[in-house]
Amino acid sequence: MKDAKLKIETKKRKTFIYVFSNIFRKGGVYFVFLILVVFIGILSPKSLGPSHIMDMLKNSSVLGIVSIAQTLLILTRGIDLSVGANIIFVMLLVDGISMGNPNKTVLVIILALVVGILIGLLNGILVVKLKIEPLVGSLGVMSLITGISYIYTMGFGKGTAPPFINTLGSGQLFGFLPVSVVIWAVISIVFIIILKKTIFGRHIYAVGSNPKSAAVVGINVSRVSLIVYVISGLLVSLAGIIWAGYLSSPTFSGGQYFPLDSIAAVILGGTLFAGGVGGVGGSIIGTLIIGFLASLLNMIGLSHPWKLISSGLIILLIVFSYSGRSRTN
Amino acid sequence: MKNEEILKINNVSKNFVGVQALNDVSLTLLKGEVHALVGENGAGKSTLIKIICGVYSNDSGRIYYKNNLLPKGNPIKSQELGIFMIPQEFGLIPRLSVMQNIFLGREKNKAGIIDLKYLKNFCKEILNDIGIKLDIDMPVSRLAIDQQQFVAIARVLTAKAEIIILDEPTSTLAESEVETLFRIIKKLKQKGITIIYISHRLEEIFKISDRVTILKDGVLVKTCKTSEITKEELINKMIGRTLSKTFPEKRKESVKDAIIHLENVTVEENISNINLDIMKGEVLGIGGLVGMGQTAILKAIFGSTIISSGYIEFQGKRIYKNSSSKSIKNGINYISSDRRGEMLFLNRSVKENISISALHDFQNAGFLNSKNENYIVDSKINEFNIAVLNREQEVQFLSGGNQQKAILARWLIHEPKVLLLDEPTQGIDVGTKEDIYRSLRNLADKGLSIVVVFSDMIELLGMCDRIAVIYEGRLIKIFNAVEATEEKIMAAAGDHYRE
Repeated sequence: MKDAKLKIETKKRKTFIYVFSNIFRKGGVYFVFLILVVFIGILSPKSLGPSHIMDMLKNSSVLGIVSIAQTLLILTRGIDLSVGANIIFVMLLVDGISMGNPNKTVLVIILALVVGILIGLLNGILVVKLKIEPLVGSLGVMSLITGISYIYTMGFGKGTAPPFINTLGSGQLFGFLPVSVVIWAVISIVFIIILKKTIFGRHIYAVGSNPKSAAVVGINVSRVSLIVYVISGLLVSLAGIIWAGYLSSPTFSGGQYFPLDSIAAVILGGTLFAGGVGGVGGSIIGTLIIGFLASLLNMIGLSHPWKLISSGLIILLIVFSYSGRSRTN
Repeated sequence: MKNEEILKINNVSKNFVGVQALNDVSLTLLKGEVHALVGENGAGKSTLIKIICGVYSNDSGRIYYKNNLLPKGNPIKSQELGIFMIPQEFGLIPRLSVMQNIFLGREKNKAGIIDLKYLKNFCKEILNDIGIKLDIDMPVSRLAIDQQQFVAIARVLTAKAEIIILDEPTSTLAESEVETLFRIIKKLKQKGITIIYISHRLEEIFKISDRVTILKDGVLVKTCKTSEITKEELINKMIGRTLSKTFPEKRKESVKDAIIHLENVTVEENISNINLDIMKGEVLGIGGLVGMGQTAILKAIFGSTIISSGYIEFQGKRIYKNSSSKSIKNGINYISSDRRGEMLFLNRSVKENISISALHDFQNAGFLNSKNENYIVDSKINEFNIAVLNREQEVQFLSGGNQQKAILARWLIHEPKVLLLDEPTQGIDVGTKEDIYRSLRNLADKGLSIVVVFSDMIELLGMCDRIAVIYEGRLIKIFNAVEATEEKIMAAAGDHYRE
């Protein structure tokens, strides 16, 4: 009698979450993406046409590039909440300094990239040299950059992007391929290769997996982390340039979603928050899930607050199933 | 009454990722007996008691408590049934009073209001019962260590303990206090309570226990009446290894050339004025009581700790500003005792864990040549006989022994000159231990210098050509293998273990 009762008690309860995470573990994030695409197809078969797909990709490309930066950071146990503020700041600089003048294109691009490197360096020094928690450090930088942005513009964005930058943000190659998507794809390929095929990539994984072990095998842990911060600052400023070309006029709104969306994309893509496991490929799918989910919720016709609530819940559900995965492991 | 069985352990086994911590252990405990549990570190004592307490659940076998099956891995149930363990640190809350600690979580109350009068009487009664005088309103933090132990015992008594497990109860007690404890244990016995008594101090075991069980490497070697075994026999059964068998043959002639020289090396709060030569091709053991500065010596040589005075010479040249990356370039490699915390990349593959120190070998203009890398990694996996599914398996799923082999393989892609190892066989099963001894000896025979910290005397004597004994950060004496005996090393280490 006691024996039987015990068995029932110890038997794993197969809750909905358990089943869900089981399916998810096998098919991974690709499975969720597929479900999304199927839903979109059922609701509106037209939206799976090439031009709509390209549109959705274009709308995701800035987030996609930011997510690559975030991937590198999270892989090395870092994180950056200042990405949104930095994108806005770069956009304001590009629009405000060039005032749409094509002759200043090179100047503003170089300026934007230098600003990105400096912000990355600042975040990196806070974390690596001053040993501030990355979450807190980048939160401070976010506030700092936002404040500077307001002082610089006195509250109102001015100017507009030069034509070349407009092309980067909203132009098309061969009449169908958005330029920003091409840039996103090229950057993705470059970083997939760096992570998989270079010594630096191995060092990134080693530092994220276990910084103490990395130091014992002679890896300069601080240097690797600092370089990653600088690279991600550079990528974010590039995203800011494209953002300037994507919007017709500068605005402060829209930037606030980048930090959390980019982190969500990375985690959805299977990169471990604890560092050391994951990669750019997953983050691309994660970005697409967030982008396609927004389109789907739009099609259903939800109001903005309900869109936020549903996408939040869906993302939480997926991420929760990951935590289930690590538990069962 | 006398021979009534209270706990019956039948064929219990427990495996921790590849290490067989307990292997088919069967044991019966009698009501009202003091049963001593002895064995070396890692023999399986703590695993066994944790299974009895329900902290771990056994892989196979059954435990019967008063002829009923004891639920596996259910610590709350075990306590309800009256099985308690008193840990070395007692688990009391310092700021609460003696009485509050005794009844913590089980206060008798009426509608939420504690019945103080009843508790006070009950508390006094229990303490009287075991012959202890204590101010029951005194905060526990103001009690002496032995008195705190009495509180812990009183606590389990009020919870109707029938089996009490005492884990090294005398390790923090003075001799007179031990006497009081023994008096209490005898009283508990009279009340029919069964005591499981774990101690390294063998004399105590002969004084207090009725029966003794000897564990070795997870196997129950012998259970017998304590009066029927001699101390020598007990020690023999605990160690149970003959030195010549498990260890490879040592170097025959002594070596003369030093590769590393430590001159008056001091690391603040760790080691002071160490003078030491490390010879080419020797296995130099560093021994002593645990935590006497052994690790600091390795870290000082490796350059991962700051030397406050003195210096280190490598191949006759003084090293300025020692650092771990410089040491690695010089061919001096370090294997920490904290395998998981300081050596491995747990969630990365075996391949990446092995190749990480030699990536420059496999590169072409910064890009890794995976064919070369895979070839080298596979050959190392074969050479060190590492049990893996394939090279892409995450290293966290390997057993401790195979993890250690992977770390050795990592450092041996390039032929190093010096290998510094801290407790390289800790938490590793016996078979793999022998593999590692053999690998180390082979390397030494090829001219590699090995400095190794062992806390296990048998390993120290069996493996090392010379043994440096450390006490409180100072180098006491260096023994040659021929002259070294357990007694001499013990004397130098200032140890009282095994008297």
